[in-house]
Amino acid sequence: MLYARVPRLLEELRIARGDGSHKRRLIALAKLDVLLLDYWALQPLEKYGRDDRLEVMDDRAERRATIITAQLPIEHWHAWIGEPTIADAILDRLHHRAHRITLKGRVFAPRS
Amino acid sequence: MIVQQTLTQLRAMKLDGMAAILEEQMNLPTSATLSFEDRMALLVQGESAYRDNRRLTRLLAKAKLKYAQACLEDLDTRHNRGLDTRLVATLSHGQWINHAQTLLIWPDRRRKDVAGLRVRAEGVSTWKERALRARAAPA
Repeated sequence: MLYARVPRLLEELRIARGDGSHKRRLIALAKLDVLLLDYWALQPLEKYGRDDRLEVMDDRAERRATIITAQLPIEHWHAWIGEPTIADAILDRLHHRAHRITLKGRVFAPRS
Repeated sequence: MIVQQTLTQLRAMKLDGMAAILEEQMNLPTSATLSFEDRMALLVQGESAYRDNRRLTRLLAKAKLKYAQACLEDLDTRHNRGLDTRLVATLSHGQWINHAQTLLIWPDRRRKDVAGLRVRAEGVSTWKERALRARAAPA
């Protein structure tokens, strides 16, 4: 079980490509029973971010539970991912047997 | 005193839960009315609960949750949020985790300044904690 901020996680994976621990990190992520990916759609995507997202989701689809919170409504995700083949692949893995929650209004509302 | 020695031994054997219950029992006059089997059951239960609790705490810490104190009871389920409360209720049982399903959460409408906006569901973290509790606690 792990909570991860996606931008930070992608940065760590990018660094891991450099020091050779990339595969090991992906394997560790794939083993988690529940992975919480926060800020899934905060930034525009770069190539490695795209690829890493696909890797993570591919490892988990049908095998492990994942929670994703995104700042972007899902109908924009395909365009935001940018590369149609990868976008299709990622969305396929996400859509399958997914529960969806949409929230209205101000999403972050600290309790007063 | 015999009890002190027992307590020390229990703790040395890392049976702190059992030791705590034993201490409690020594302070409760009603303990004397319980049968040996009943008292033994309480001691064992105490140790089991203690271990479960420690495991849960350890897993929660390892998970590095953003809002570790969040709980499902705090979820803002007011109607204007558009939350499907039946879905919430179903998900709270955690079966979806056992079935390796995905949960996607996003805002209803794209906001213009999405790039800089911290859009988070206060209630979202309750999923996280709930998900962890569901995994950590044997069903």
